[in-house]
Amino acid sequence: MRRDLRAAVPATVPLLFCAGALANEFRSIGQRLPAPVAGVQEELAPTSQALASAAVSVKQDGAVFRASSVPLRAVDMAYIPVLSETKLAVSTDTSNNLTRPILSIAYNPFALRGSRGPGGTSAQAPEPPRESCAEVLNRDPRTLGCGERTFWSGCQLSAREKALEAAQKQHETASKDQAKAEDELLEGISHGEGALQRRKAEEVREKRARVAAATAAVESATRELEKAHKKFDGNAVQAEDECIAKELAAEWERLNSTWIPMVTLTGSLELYPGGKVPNPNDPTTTADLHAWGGAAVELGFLFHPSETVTAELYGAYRHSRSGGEPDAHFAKYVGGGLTASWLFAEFGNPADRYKSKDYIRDDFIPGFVGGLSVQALHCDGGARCIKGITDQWSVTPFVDLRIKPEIQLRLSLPIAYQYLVDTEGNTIAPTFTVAGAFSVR
Amino acid sequence: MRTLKPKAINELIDKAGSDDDLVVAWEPSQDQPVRFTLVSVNDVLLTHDRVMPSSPVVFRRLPDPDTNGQYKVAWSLTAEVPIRRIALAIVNVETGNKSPVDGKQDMDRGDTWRDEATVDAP
Repeated sequence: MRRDLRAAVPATVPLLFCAGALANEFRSIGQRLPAPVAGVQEELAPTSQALASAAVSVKQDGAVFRASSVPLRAVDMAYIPVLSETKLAVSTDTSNNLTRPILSIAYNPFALRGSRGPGGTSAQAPEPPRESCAEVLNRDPRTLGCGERTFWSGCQLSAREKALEAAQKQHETASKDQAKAEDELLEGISHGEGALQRRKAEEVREKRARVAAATAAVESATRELEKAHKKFDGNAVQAEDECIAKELAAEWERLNSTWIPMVTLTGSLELYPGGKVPNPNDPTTTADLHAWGGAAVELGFLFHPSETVTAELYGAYRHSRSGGEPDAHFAKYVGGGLTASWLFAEFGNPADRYKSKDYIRDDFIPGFVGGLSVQALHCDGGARCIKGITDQWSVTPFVDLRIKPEIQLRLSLPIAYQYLVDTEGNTIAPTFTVAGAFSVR
Repeated sequence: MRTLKPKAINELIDKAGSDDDLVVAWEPSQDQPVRFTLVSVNDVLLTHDRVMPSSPVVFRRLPDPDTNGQYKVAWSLTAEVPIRRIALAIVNVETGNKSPVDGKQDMDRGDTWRDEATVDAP
């Protein structure tokens, strides 16, 4: 579960409410980037394999609770593109009492359970022929795969263990022979048979020599085995770990080197508390609150042309009220935006990414990320638009400091330009805002 | 070249290995790939460096058990996505008897489980 903590400056958030709010909830790169647009709420999306996530964000005028779930991850079923990515979410904003049930579907070529992106596959390869130790030991270890190399190391040990076992057996046999010969010699002495005694003495000497040779062979085999253990025990495991990590890291590299986008279609409903309040036009009577706030839809494209570059393009349409009050009427909003970011300074050597567990697990690369977000929103409702804003543009340069997946900081400078209308629907004046924002995850 | 008779075929196949299979199973099972870096039995490499997309994976007709009637199983498996539990067992195809080898719980992506165990033939 992700923990969010947000501190935002300034008091007004001069960004695109509609598109931004939708974007926050459903950018499925949640595990890769903090909120795509500076100054808006933190995005929320379960990690690539998580079933659900939830978070509370604190704003100056209230708090936002968001929970998101991918229900099909709860059941053990095959991955079905689009369907398996279906996401349900709900968000509640205490600042305006707005509750949003949200449904999102996505085509995600980067799903680890899917076909692993263009050119990639996790399909079962044909079984390799069974190989014995003798066959593998005859091959050049440099040509072997991760597992074969480990097996090769195991075979080296196994061969030495067997050699030691054979030497011990030989020693045992030689020792028995020697004991037998010595017994016979003693017997010969007791019977006083000189010629036999000499022969037996010669035999005993020979047997003793054999035992000595067998003892030396056992000692040598033991040393060989110890040497092999020293050489292979730690090294083989380390080499295998490194080999596997490199292969897993290569999967991210392949997934993140394509212009094929992840496509997300999101729909949301807007609900306000129902009930009756004093009629704003005639306080002596009551009027119904509007529980139905409207609906919104967004289509987003996420591009990962390289491991260090990300681009997001989205368009959004919303037909909704500015609030649940009796005098709030529907207005249409059309918006869109583009966010591009670039990891310009990586902590560590890119060639060593495979050594990071965060990278292997979550595709997380620590470093400084610079980016720019451009958004636009048009509302055709005049005075019915939220806060009377009919047109907005914003450009937001930002810099992210990514330390760990749990520790990410964003410094951004939203520059917004907006047209406001008065209650009659007349444009008052364009407003230009520059503000700084800082967010922590 | 002459055609081999069915009886001879059966004899040949019977000699080719034991009646035992090695089964590797995990959950969740569907499209939850596991990397089989190495699986060997009695110093015979059954598979290596393969990503198996779904559970179970069965290695049929294991090499004969050793003279003590035992199998020495060595394995190295890496989860490509989080796996809740995973286990290995040797199963006799004739009797259905099982000899559990080992099991593991809660593997994250990148976690490698490697070990070696000697078990009696089922």
